[in-house]
Amino acid sequence: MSLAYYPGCSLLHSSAEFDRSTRKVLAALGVEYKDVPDWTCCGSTPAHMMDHLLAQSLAARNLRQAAEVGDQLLAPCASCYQRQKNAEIEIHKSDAFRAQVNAVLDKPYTGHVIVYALPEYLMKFVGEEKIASLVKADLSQLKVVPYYGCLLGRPSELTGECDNEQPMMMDMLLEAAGVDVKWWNYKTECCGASGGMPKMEIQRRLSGKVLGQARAAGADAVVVCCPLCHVNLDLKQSQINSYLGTDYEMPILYLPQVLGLALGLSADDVMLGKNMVDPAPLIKKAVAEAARMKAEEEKKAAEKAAKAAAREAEAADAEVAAAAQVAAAAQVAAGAPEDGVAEAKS
Amino acid sequence: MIRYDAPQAAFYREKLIERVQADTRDCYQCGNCSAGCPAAFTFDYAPNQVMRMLQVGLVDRVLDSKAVQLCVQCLTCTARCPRNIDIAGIFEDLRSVTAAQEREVPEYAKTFNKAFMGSVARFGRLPELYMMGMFYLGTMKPKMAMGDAGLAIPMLTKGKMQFIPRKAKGADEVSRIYKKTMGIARARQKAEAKIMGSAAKAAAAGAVAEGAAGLGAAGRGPGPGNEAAG
Repeated sequence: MSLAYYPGCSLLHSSAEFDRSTRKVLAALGVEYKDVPDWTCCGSTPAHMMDHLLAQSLAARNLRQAAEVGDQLLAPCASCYQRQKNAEIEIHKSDAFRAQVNAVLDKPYTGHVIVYALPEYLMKFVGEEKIASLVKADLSQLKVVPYYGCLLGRPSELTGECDNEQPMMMDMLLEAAGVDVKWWNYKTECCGASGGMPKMEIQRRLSGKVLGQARAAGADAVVVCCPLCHVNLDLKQSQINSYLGTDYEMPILYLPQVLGLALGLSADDVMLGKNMVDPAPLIKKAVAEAARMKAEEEKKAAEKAAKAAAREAEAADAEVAAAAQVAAAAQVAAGAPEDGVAEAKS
Repeated sequence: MIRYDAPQAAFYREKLIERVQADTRDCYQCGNCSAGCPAAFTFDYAPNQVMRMLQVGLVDRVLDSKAVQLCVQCLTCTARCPRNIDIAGIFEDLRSVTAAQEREVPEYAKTFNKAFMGSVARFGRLPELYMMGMFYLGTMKPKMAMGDAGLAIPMLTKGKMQFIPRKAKGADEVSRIYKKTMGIARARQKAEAKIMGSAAKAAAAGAVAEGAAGLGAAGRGPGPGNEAAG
């Protein structure tokens, strides 16, 4: 079982930070992988709107290339994941359909490659315990909402999430990393990605709602695991503000950026500088706040310990005094008759 | 007045069962799909209306609609349908039918898809800047391009954009896949149009026969269902 890594087109340029942070996190967690040799675009999202066989064949080409590496494929981009998972399921289920696809490909796909999204892979093959045990930075004061969008959670039969409306994998990973995860109702609402260019009203309105709900939930940042969600919420945040007349300045972080920071990677390692809405001040503030709170707690604990020690010392003194008193009294009690006797004698 | 076009409804229903494993007859018009649809505010027909139109055979009107072009494929309707109909799958199929027919459709989704797939077929991987250029050329709307031009500067300064697209190793195969599959799709569409054409003729002949029998053909007028016969 070896893991093939499919970066996808977005991760090459517009979402370079997603690619870098994912690779760094995998390395920090000791996951070994190889890039899919000569991968090409999975066709997401236009291909499946033009022709079903086109979409499945483009994805199948990558599955065939991945089979050269192993039988697991990790596609961090949610859209690449969804297209390739969809093709994987249909091709593996039906030999007739596989034959149709192979008739279009240059070389046939004969393998059995299983496609994973990043949260799914981490939950299944790394686990919350391991992540929690490797946490080095205290992010307990970083308040975030995990945003799954459409393609990580829906349909749950495909993605392996527990529920269409209430996916949990990102929540659990972030909690394992010690981040303050806020509860909200917009986890799976659409950001309008595929309508972003042809019909910008859809993107502006939907992404604006997501940002508003994140703020209402008390979050300081939104965590995403999809380059399309990131473009819509981060790169286009200024456009949303001017279209809706809002004043959002909400950093949008990739899941592996947050996990990386928790695992002790630096801001440069996870390329925080590439995000449009600068997340660095927020991260610094959260880390400083956590350190301050820790110091305060330590101070309180030390004070408490000092007080307890003082009380104990007092109690010990009192005990000594009491013992001395008792001893003195005993002496007095024992000595008195003697004295009396002595007195009587004299 | 809505006139049922039973042959077209039945024909398209069969095709959807075959291609999407979704039966339009299962829909009982609860409206859950429309309630959850995030893009419906831009549609001319809400998703449940599209379902009803398919049930009664207004396929042409559906294929010409904005709704089919503006669906964002978020899959919320599919996830929430109490009858387990893959509504997003139906929308996807409808849009691929318009692509295979090379139909004139409203909105710019078709322009976007063509710009995207054209760029991918040429370079193997998506050259984002090149694709955006092709899209805005296709729309012929400089105003739309100007709206996004402001994003170019931060993307360039942050090194998030590739200026000159490079051809990936598998590009030629991708190009062949694109040509072959779209060719297959167009051929299939032509064959289906032929079958539909003869079915429509038969239906029209039936209507004439009905009219001759005095069943109120005059009252029909230029109803939407008659588009199919044309």
